[in-house]
Amino acid sequence: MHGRFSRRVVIALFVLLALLAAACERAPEFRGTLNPEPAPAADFELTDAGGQTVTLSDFSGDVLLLYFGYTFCPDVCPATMSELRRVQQAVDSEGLQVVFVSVDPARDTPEIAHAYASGFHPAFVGLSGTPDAIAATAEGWGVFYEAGEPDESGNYAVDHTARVFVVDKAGRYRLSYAFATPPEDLVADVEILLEE
Amino acid sequence: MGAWHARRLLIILLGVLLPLAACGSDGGIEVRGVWGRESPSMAQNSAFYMELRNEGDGGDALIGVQSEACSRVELHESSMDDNGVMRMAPVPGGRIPLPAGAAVSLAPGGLHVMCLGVTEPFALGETIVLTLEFAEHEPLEVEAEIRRDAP
Repeated sequence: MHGRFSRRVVIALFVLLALLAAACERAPEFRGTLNPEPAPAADFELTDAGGQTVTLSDFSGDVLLLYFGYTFCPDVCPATMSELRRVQQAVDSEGLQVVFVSVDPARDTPEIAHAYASGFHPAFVGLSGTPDAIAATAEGWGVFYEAGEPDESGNYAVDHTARVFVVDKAGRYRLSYAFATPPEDLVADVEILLEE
Repeated sequence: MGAWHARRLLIILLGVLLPLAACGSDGGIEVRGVWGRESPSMAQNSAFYMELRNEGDGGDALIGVQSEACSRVELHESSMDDNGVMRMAPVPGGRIPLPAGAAVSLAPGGLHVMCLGVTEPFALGETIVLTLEFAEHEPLEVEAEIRRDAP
């Protein structure tokens, strides 16, 4: 009686462990915030430093890290761009593309946006566009931005959503990260997505 | 019995004297880990970060920073709302309070010294002289180390 009971417990435990192992293999553990509905990412029509129109499909086949900011930003944007540089250096793959999109079209021309982004890492791309193009892009991504009142010397801050968005190789928006997420978390997720 | 009493007296004396000794330290503002970030060549604005500790008995405040590396310097704070929107604004009254005995951290995504109109891009490895101005204490000159990432 006692012997048969413990054998059943052992068998049940083995089944449970096997199920857990199978579950682990099927769903990789992402560290970022999962997009509940990984649908095709919102497309955009922006402008690069050479004046060419750039759309999301231009990056298809790459894992994309998308960040919205502005070049006059002294604190949060340089912090995030520096973290993205650490991700780029750690992943060290041409399959990863970091894209910076300005939410300050009045001051950031595409040339300035790209000079800023590539100043953090030569492989980074910086994009800007007309105020309408930036507004449409931000709306598609659920990104909020709002320029503050200029001070006496004309300087102003731009409040903005400070998340990093991840698009997979198939062009689907998969994950996002809050400000100051450790770069190691992004590296782990990007490496999984590059293997897909 | 006598030895036990003597030991207890010693412990009590130490308990009273050690905090007094701590109070007796110079009572100034201690500044540590001052740094700024290497900036892309075209970036106009930047920031400095540091740890401040008020070792004195009375409250104080950081009320200004001077540096030849900036056209203008302001004390700002970034803060995130519930929707993940980062907002940045000058600190209330233009001052960062430094309560007696407290440590205040200026760090990315929070309180920072905002450098408007960098006179030259911040280059990796250089040091930038800042003069910190306080409500109560004499100004302090410190050197910010220009780095890629937080120390």
